[in-house]
Amino acid sequence: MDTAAKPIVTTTSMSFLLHGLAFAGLLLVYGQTTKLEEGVGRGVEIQLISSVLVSDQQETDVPRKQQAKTEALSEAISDAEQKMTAENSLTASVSRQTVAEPVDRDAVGQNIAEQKYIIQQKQLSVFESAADTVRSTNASQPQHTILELLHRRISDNKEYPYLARRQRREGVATVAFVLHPNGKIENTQLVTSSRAAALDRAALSAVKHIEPFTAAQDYLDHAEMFQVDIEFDLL
Amino acid sequence: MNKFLSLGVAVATSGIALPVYSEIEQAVTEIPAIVVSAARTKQSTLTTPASITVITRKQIEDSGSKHIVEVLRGQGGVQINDLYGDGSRATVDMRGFGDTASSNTLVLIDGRRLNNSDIGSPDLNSIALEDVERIEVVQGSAGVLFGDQAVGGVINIITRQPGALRHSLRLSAGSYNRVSLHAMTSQALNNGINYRVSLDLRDSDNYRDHNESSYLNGFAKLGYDYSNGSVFAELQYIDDELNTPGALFADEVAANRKQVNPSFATDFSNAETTVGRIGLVQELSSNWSFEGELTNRETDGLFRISFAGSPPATENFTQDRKVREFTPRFIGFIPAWNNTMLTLGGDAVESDYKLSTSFGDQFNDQSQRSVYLQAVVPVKNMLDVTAGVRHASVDNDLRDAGMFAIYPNGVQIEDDVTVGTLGLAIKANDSWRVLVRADQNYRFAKVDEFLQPAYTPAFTPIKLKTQQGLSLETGVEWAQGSNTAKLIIYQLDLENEIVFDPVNFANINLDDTERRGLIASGYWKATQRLGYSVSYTFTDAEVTSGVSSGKDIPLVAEHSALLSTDYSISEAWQVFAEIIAKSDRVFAGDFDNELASLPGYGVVNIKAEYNIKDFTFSGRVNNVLDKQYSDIGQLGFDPNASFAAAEAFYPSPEINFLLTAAWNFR
Repeated sequence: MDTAAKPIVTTTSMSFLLHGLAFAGLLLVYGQTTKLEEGVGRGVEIQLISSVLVSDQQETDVPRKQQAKTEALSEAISDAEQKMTAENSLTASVSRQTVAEPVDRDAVGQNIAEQKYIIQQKQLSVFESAADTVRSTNASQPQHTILELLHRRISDNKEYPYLARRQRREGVATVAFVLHPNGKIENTQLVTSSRAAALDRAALSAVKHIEPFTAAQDYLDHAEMFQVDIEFDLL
Repeated sequence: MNKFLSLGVAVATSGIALPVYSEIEQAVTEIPAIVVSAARTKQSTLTTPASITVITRKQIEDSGSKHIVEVLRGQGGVQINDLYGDGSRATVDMRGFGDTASSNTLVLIDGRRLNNSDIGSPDLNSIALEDVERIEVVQGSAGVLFGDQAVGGVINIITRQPGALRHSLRLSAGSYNRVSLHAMTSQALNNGINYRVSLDLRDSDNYRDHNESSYLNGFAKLGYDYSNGSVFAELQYIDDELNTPGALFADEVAANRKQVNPSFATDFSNAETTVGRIGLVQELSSNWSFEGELTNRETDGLFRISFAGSPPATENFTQDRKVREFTPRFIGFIPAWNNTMLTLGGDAVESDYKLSTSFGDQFNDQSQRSVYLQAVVPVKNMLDVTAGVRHASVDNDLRDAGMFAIYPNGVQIEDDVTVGTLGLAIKANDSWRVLVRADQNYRFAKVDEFLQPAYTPAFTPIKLKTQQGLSLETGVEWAQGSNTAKLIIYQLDLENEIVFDPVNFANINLDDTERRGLIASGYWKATQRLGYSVSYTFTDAEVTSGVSSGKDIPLVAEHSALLSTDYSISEAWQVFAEIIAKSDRVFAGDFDNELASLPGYGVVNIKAEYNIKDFTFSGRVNNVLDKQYSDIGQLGFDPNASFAAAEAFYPSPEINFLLTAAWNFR
């Protein structure tokens, strides 16, 4: 086999230059590593805003069983609420406004979301300092937060599998799982397949990888089932 | 919207029974949906460490181009040589090959090789631009991944994937009685079945006299996606008819640059091609998958070719080729090795070529076999090392007949070659990427190249050697949002480069040749509405040993550049303009560099587009400044000057326009 093309392999001055440059480039960039995020969480903010607003509108839809539980906790919560600042009334007014004028939602959405986030954080700290009894999924405000946290954590673990991307597979996988207060994730399962096994696996894996979800102890007093749509989309 | 937080969605409604936990409610809380997106249009899935320029669907649409050649013209590192200015017989040249560009730049459509085992150029029109999702320009050799003819670079054309139901219809009309129609329908059904059917018709008299063209391209693809893979079958039929006016000497150009020399007045080149292809993608495990395609391509060519100074030929010749390809590969990840990605594949290409002319017949069969292995090793978070090797063998079975036959009893010519690659890709952060690589490449002599004997001594067969080379290159790429910039410098050294020497009328192996160059390109989105694209290519291609040492490789422009701008005046109106420039070149075939040089040129093309609902109306004017230039010139023998070597030109079109109306329904 007369293969290696001898005269060509001879290193020329040009190739020294090339490699020198490359090495310099390597040295230059080596220090400043920045962690890359896989994929882009398109529309995440918008969806969060939606979820906050929609939840306000839908509080009346909470099933009776949970409503009862909420009522049972209401005393403790109202104790906590008394300690809140006047800003909280803004939440109520904003919510009411949103319900009354749903058309304006988008226009005020961003501001509302920001304000509500701040308020939620404050409420949260108030709740925590007030009493342990406040820990409940079914108190609506903390639930927003656990949903946000879950959304964020799953997003951090999401990945478009290379082989699926290469084969141009797209789809939506719906995954359900049980989250325990101790942060354990159990019974992760596929509710609806994306029609591509590789995407289904990636969706399940994104959920499984949030374990241990230690923040659960702040929000749950018993195991609860969650469900999430994970959409794989080639832009 | 209300799905995001609807408490108490009954488990039963999801249709799947979930186990009941006694301590929890049978309620499911929905987490806001998560979108995992991958930029299909921006990222290549090719695993070469080469610099890859991706021309997106959007960029193609913005340019108002009507065929692939127009899109590629002026791209960094790409030189288009367009014989008749309509793209019908254009070749793509990467890294400066000139005449033999079509044997040294590999063109792929969805991974299928368009290059031939004979010197016929790949048919760049065989895919309608409307059916293209993106075009990837791979800079430099990719000998390990793609093998034969991937010397200067690879043009990888990716077709659009069926999605939601979509129909499109385009009608164009313009200068030189040009009319064209493109119709397409595609859909991916929920049950996994998907299809795309398209028809492309073109008719034009073209700029030159006796240059009428007629092109029909029908395509149908049926696919089925299942959980662990997908299968597809596609069928294509192409009927390509073109009258060929040939070249003109300087005095003829001066008299009438559109004319056809009377000798060539009946020449033509027609071809009918059918392509059938089936493919399979099968997931073997969570880390491994198999991909493979089986392709059958048959072309029946009918042509007539005359010689300057002789009366027009009266006899038709035939050129038939059958190509069968099998391209299986396994792709997988090895978690234990830091998620190293392996590609293990084999290519088998069988070509039967038959040429029938008044000189006699040629029956040439070629069989190529290769195996390759490439590994992409993530050494650090930011550093990928790519290493690979390919072993390829070729077996030519050649026979010719007639009074000039050199292998009347047939001959078998075999060779084999091993090439390797080593590359580093350093992704410093979201914006910066640095590439360094060495890639060996090869091109086997084409079947018909063997059959051009030397005339001194008379009819001695020339046993061509396999051309081999090494490409060394480094590049820096930057991207932030829509803005991109890249700089590549390279050196490509070849030995036994195979060229046609028109002075001695034989295919020869050149002594050592060397190409050095620089490619700089960038896109700047100045505002939401205004974007600029720029590229500059410097190519120094010369013979570095032997009798022609120091001479420039013909037809390669030392400098070429592109500047284009797209501007959205409003939602509906969009305009585009580009300047494409090429410097002087040596005439094709003039390895001694003895003729004057073919003058460089700069042309300006503009386009305006108006969108309303599902309709798009556009107008494109090419060569707005009405420059008279020739994109290609070759060394010819002037019968009016006792067959002395002289400059012969293929005059390019003057100012011309094309109006288009398109309807897109989805």
